[in-house]
Amino acid sequence: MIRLKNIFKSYGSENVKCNALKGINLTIDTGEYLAIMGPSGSGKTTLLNILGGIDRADSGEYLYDNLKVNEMTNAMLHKFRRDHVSFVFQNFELINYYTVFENVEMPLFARRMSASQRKKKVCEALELAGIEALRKKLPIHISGGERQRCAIARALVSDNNLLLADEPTGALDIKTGEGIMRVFDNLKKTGRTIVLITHNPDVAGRADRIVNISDGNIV
Amino acid sequence: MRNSRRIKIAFDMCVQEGVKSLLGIVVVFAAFVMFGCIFMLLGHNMSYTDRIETGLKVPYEKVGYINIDSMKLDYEEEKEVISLIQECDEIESLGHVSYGIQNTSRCISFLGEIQYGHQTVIPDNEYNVGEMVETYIMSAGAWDIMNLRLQEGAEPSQLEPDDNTILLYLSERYSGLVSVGEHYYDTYEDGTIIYDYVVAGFFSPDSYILANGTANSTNNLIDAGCCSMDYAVVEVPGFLFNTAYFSTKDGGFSEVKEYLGSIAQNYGIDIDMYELSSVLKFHNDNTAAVTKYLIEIAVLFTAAAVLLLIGIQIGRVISHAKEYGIWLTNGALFHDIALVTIYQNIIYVILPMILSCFAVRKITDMILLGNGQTAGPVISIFWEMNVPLLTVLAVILTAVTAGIPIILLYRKNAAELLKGETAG
Ligand SMILES: Nc1ncnc2c1ncn2[C@@H]1O[C@H](COP(=O)(O)OP(=O)(O)O)[C@@H](O)[C@H]1O
Ligand SMILES: [Mg+2]
Repeated sequence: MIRLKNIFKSYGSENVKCNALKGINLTIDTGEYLAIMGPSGSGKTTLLNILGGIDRADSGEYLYDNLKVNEMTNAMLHKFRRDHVSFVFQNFELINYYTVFENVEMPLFARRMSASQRKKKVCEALELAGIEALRKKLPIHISGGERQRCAIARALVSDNNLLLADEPTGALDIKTGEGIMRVFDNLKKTGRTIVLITHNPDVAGRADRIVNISDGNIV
Repeated sequence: MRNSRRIKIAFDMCVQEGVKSLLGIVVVFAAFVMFGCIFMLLGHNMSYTDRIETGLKVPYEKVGYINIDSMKLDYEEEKEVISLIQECDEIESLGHVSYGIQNTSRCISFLGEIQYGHQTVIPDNEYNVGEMVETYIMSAGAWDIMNLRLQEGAEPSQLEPDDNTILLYLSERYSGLVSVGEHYYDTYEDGTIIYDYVVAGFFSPDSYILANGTANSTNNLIDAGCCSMDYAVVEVPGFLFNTAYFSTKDGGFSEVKEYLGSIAQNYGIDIDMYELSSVLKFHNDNTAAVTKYLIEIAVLFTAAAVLLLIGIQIGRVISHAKEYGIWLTNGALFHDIALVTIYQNIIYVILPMILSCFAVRKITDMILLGNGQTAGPVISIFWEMNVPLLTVLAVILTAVTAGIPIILLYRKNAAELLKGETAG
């Protein structure tokens, strides 16, 4: 279970301050599939970054099961992220000179695994994402939808419980996005907690629950 | 993450940059070659005293050189003068060395096959292989002053050669061709013997003598200091000489000068005397300016190159910020990417540094070693000064060029790195 209490976050210096989050309270159950909606600039990405431990809140409490994430040192936060969180981004964030297989393999280097164990895991993830055939291709030689499937495969290969997706279909056409969302539907069945940001009500409609954010507040 | 994986990631980043990486390595390599050459020149410049000492068996403060103007003397008088000089209380030993003697005796010219291309004085385009051999002519006393050591055979003072016998001492390189005790006869056409060359010993590889021209004037700038016996053929005839190195018992040069002065007056001749320490002082005073200049260049150049390299390396890490961000969101810890940065810098700094050592060694061979006669002392500058200095420089450079980017990376969170942000 994830519990956010009174999370504040602002960017910039004293004189040009931008309050991105203004006291967010949110509870997410383990295994829940949550969609976050809201206009551009409302603080969705900021919230997701804090959930994923790649950014810190200015104040407020972040409990992950019984871990007090907001009190962690930098090193603890890195470990927290490594052991619990996977990310899918709007613009995929793949390493262009690694093949699909190598990109998906990345999170496994943090685990003590043999090359053959890694191969097995990667192949399973590629299969779940529906791109086994592309394993030897470089990201620049595959379509946007396929790249996103690669990013999803990389996110699920590590078995981390919290999957954060920031507009995963935002850069894709409707039909391709539809395919990606089916992958998420399948992921839901693996028992992961999924938090997904989207502008698309159809995409959000597939989630267990929708949370709306506006101007740094949940409405 | 395993270390091998971190190295692989660092390596992948370098390979991915392709030509840019190669260029970076070439720039660092070139900088280190420049450092190396400046250090070698500096080391060479500052080690003249060492090289002089390498050529001697006695402290240089005790060594001097005399030049007898013997034109006015007949054979018997010359003999008298030399034995008088030898009787001087303050002179311990007196040893003659002539350099670069062109010996064309048929019976030993085969030695030239090994020596060809390694003569110290005679250019190798002036004769053909096996036509002649370049020799040193020495007297027995040279063994007491010069750093001559035998690994086989006996010193000339222990032998009692006939008048027409010439003792041959050779570098061990010749030991495959001749052996101790062998005779080679130089004869007239009718068979009468002119000279009887007898092989008397082989030098050990650490044998050196003062270089040609080092002491025969106070104001020369001959740089070699010493020369090795690496390809040497030394003749020790029973003969008279009009120049000689000498060693004093307690550095009493004024007594020697006075003594020589009285002999010169008696025979109506000139006898010049030089102290090796004044030669050294003149040389070192004259190169001090050059040394200072070289140090200035070294400092300036090092500072400029270090700043440039730091700039290049920081630029490199900034351009990889996004990849670091991707790694951080996919299971890497901060210390993983810090180590990747360090390994990258090892590839970009330590690797070219090691390569540059080979290059500097090669350049040293070409520029400072010349015919190989001063190889030993110069190579010891390379190992004792150049390699350690370059290593220290490379380690400091790696620390700085990895350290600054690591601090930059540390100040940013993964979300910022993903956006490609590092600076500010
Ligand atoms: N790194 C940043 N520096 C300054 N302002 C930022 C930064 N990131 C986000 N913001 C600002 O914070 C607010 C929320 O941004 P964000 O969380 O990205 O919104 P969303 O994802 O909902 O579009 C916006 O006003 C945005 O301009
Ligand atoms: Mg956003």
